[in-house]
Amino acid sequence: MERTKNQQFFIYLGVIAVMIFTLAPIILLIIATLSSGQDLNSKTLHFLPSHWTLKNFTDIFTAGSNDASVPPFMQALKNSIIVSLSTTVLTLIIAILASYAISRFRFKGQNGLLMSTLGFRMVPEIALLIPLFVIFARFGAINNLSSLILIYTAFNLPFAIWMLQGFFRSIPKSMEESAYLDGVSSLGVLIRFILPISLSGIIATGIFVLLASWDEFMFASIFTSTYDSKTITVAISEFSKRGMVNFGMQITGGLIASLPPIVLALLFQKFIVSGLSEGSEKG
Amino acid sequence: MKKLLSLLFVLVLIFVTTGCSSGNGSDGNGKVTIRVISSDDFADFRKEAVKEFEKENPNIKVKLESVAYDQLHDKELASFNASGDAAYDVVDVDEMWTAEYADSAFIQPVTDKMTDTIKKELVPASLNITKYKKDYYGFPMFNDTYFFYYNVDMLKKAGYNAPPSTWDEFTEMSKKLQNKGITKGPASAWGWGASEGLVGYFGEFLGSFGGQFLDNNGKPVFNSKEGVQALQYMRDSIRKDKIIADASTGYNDRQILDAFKNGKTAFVSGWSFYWNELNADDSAVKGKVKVGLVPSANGSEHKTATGSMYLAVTPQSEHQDAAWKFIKFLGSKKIQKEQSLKAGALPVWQDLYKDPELKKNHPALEDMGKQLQYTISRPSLVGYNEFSKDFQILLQQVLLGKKDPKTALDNAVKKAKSASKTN
Amino acid sequence: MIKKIRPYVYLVPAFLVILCVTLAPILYSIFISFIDLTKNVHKLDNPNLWSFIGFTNYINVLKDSVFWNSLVKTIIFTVVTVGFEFILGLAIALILNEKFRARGLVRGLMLIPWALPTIVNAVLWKWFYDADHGTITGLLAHLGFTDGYSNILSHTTSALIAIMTADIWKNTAFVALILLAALQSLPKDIYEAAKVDGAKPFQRLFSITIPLLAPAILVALIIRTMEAFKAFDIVYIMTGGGPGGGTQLLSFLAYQQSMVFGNFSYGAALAQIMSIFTMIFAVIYIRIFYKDRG
Repeated sequence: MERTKNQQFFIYLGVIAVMIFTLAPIILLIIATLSSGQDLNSKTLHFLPSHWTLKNFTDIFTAGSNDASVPPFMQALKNSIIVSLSTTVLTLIIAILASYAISRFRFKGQNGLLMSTLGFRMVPEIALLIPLFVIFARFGAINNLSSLILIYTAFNLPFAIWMLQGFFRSIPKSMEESAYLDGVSSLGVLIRFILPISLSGIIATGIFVLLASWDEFMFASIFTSTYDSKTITVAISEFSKRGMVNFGMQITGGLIASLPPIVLALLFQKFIVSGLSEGSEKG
Repeated sequence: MKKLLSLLFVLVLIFVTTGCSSGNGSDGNGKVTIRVISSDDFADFRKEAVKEFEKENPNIKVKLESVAYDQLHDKELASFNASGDAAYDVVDVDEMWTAEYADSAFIQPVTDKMTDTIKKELVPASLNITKYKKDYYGFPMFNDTYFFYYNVDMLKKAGYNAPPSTWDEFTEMSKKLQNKGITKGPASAWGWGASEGLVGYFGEFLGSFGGQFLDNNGKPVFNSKEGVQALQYMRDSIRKDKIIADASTGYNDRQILDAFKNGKTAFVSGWSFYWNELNADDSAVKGKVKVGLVPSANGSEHKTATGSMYLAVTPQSEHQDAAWKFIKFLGSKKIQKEQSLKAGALPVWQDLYKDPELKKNHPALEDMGKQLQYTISRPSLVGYNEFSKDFQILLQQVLLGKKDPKTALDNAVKKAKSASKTN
Repeated sequence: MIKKIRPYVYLVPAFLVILCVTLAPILYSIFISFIDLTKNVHKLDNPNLWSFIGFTNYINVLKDSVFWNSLVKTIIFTVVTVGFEFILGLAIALILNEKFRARGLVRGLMLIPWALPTIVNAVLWKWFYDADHGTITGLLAHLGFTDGYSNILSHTTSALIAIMTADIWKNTAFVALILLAALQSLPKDIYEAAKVDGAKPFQRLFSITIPLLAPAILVALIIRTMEAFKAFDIVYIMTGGGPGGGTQLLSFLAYQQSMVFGNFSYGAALAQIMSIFTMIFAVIYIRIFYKDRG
């Protein structure tokens, strides 16, 4: 099992290559956010700025307070946090119930249901953009965070159900059966036995949903036009006026917008990987 | 079949209502609320103006939504096809969208409200952008065109005391500036990247060569002799005479401003907001810039392309009078003057260009006012956006030397004809 | 009786949400694709203004050279990005599955591109490719690949390559993540047996690892193909479909037709055609997968 020196060398070479591939753009991004507008706009190739500055960050955090044509970034950040957290919670609750039914009970149309759930994921979102806008507009539900939450929940449900029913299926039924004999209700079985065992899978699914709703742009851009409802992706795209892009703001906003998902991904790394490996076995 | 399907659709809608609708309350305290969507161009100023308006009209509440210009059209189009709360009372309209919006009755004609005095006192270029067929559709909010900026210092070094008056002079002066090494590369750069701006710049050359987009009957005629000459001149300036930067075919209006601002070029043609940028503290050409008339050819007028916007009322609006009141307020001389003082915008009223306070505040105001006498507008076609996309590609092919001007323009006129089909 | 109803009770919330927010709009969209809603109608929800025109919208789409151009670009985009993401992702997963120092940290850092929002990724790469001050533009010029600073995003082929590299960089991490997860759950004893048999590393890769990874590979490929085929954000931010339709992927074309040109019916018909394509992909993948298994 001992590896030769040669093998060792190639593995480390590979690891270094992977790290350069992964990190080089990120490092350039971080440097850019600390550069002045002049450095960003200079036509010479340089990797380090002529002088470091935090101006981009102070600009971002005060955005909207003195210039109304710049979307208030902190408000957008808050909106995005509300939307993606609510979407995640709502999606998980609904998907857990549905997955429980699919994985634990036998009923008519079970397979068809699972398949059609997957089918919904294949519909291009653009097909739903106008119909959903018309329907939501009819009920005055535009510029409304709840509307975005509902839409994102619907988009993420198929994937969440598909992942979760895989986890639930991998849990042996023996324990539940004795619980049933003790008179525990089916909801009780779900809460007391199934949820704790499949926690890592639920967290993994939750992270995927959270990242997907944090990421969404097309619907957010058409469904929101007030600062009270614009999400962070919309705000970043609006750091530009006609033909003029404020790269400093866009990139700095982008870095800040990336921090929550990156931190989450790093924190829950173990769950994501183990969750995925369990899920893909049975999925 | 149709009935059955409509029934089905209505059933689905009802299901959706009972299933998903979350109740939304409307305030019923007698106060009228109007919803306004506007580009972020003068967002700061408009926010202040709204406060002033609400103070004068305590019964009207204005909900102003500012969106990036790039997303304005798409959001408005979606809202026209909706009703209820998603519908706006007042929309911000770019001049090229007039035909599209008016033809589909997305915006309400206001011809009866535009009195003769108003029509006489407005800058004609401003008034014209709101016109489609025989009707007026809104009130202009600001004036903008491609102005011709030049670097006084550089021209002096080359021995010139005045900007070029004809395009031939422009070529000659550019060559001299380059030969003497006053500009390191080509004497000017233009925003001829494949975007809406390119159509505007073509308009500037078309107009100053004596051509027009549409004839008096609204028929596209820009493949005329003048049109071909104008496009040929644009191409030769890049490819043959090399007085215009080669990279212009990839530039937008921000990049050419940067080049001029850093003292790399001697001329630039662009919007009115350039003025403040060029005289900002970080500008290398601060205090050395003047605005002249766009050069011309064939002895025609020094015409340039407009790029202004106006506000209009939608037919869905349940508060048409309040909406128009708000638009009139923003367009009033008082607010237009404030807008010029605080936000540097060019007013829509002719006499404001002679206002001493404004003149003091904006040294180029008078020169800009002169240019505003000679304008050409991009053709407002029902299918303008579609036409523009195709036209940009054709223009670029010519500028890159892949197509000859005549073929490209003939082709573009065909596209314009099919884009001007009304419903 | 209650027992029979029970599973359905658990399904009700999911059913309601999907019905209202996915199924109803899909039906509506199919509906729009059969009526004439080109420019002249400003009330999508006013049945009095509807006129049915059968498959005319579909025929218009299929007769439009713009559609075929977009389809070709979308297929190129999908095949190239998914192909690179698969190869690079597999290589990264195999490397990170080995034992080396600071493995946990490296595995964590690898997740960053995946966690980066698509919009941010697009903004970042747009800046790298900027004609005047982009890092990549500058590098290419300094290394002599281009004659001075060139405007990468304003040439048809290079713009397509630019959006593809941006997509590949971000989503390789996703493929690697899924494959690494699968690698970690593979039974170790099979490898030991193969080593005893004297199988070389590459033989082991193709005869053992890849077949064992097949389910995970399928999952990664299906998800990535669907996403790539529907790619929108990256085009919207980086190129706006330009230059000259060079990066006009189908989703963007459908958006442009509906939201910019106002051809709602064309957009709806195009979206239905896209759905058919994704269904076909799914069937093909699943066929291949089951054939391999049985």
